[in-house]
Amino acid sequence: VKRVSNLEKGGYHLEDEELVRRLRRGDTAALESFILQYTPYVSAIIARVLKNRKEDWEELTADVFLAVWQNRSKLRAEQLRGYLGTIARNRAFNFRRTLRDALPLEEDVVSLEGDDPQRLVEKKELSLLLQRALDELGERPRELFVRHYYYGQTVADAAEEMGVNLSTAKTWLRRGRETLKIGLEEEGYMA
Amino acid sequence: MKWEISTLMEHYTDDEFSPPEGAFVDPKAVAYRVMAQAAPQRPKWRPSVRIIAVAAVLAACMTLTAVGWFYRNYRLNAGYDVTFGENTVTYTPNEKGGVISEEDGRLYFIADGQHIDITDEVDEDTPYFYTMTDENHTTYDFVVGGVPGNYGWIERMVTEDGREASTSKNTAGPWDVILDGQRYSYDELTEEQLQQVEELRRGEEGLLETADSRAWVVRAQEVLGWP
Repeated sequence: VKRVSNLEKGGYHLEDEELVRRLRRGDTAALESFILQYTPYVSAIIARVLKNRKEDWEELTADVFLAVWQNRSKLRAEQLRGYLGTIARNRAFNFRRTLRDALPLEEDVVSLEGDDPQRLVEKKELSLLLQRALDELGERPRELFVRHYYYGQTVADAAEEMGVNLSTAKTWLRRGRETLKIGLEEEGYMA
Repeated sequence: MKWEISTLMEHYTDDEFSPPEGAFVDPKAVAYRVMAQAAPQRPKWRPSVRIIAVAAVLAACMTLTAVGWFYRNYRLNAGYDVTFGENTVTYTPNEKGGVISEEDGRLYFIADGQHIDITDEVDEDTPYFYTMTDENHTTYDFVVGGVPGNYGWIERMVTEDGREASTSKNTAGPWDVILDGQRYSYDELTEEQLQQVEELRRGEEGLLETADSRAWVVRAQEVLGWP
């Protein structure tokens, strides 16, 4: 029996639930489908963070899928897209750091109380705190904040794509930082 | 302890504002890369030693032909292995080599085993050129410009059969604004100047903004006839 791979067939689309179920049990045909379905999404995130590193997009995109495959037991269908996006974003940011290519981010520092801010992460409070803080911003300022601090897009690029002038964009970002700091202060994390 | 907001945001999950999907890379090429590591092919039967030997010779011939023509590895001096496929060029960082070394406030051209002090030969408007050809008749053109602390370079490789690869560093100028005849970086504008920018945007005279390639890049393009 000759096995025809998804690549030879041109691929086919699987619903996330079926995809995750098959990935979790180690089905490599499902892996091919998974890659074909989600490469446009993953590579778009990488391309946004690493706008000028076109030559690295393909390899980093492949790294993301390989990382997911190696940790497939953690996959959940309802979180698949967000999980993939987070891995893609973090891989692209880490790669950029290895290039010693400074991220063009506005006032990208907050001071936190205590010697071990990692406890925030361990307590799983941080993602909730971030979600709450950003929810307090209006949709457009939140989008700008996410584009800039989450996807690493320059303020100028984000503002242009959103049709916002630069000074307004900078004001929105400042408000976003203040809101985040207030959220951290209320939880007792600010120095 | 200071934390970067961008680092805190590693723990955020976005399902609202992800960028529009697009054809940034070939999904099939990604799949081939992943499948090679995730699902390596295993032989289903064990051939005899003689068959292995004959097959190995045949495979070596075929591989050498294919690799030699379509998938031959090249190396950019800037520190990338380059693999040409039929329609693709893949760059793999190898952490070897380099084009420029900044030492004690001076710029040295270090590709091709050189150590040439070019500090006085380059500035923002004046590029430094260097060309080399290796034993495979692959030509490498280098362009360097700028000043210590803010220099950049381009390396462009052209193989004997005309395939090209290139890499560069710090070739784009800043996005600047002209106010009262003076050029400012957006990042350095005061609140008052930002207000002025907004007013100019609304006005009839418009606003002068610029985001060009650096002058030494433009000059190099003219000299070398690069697009």
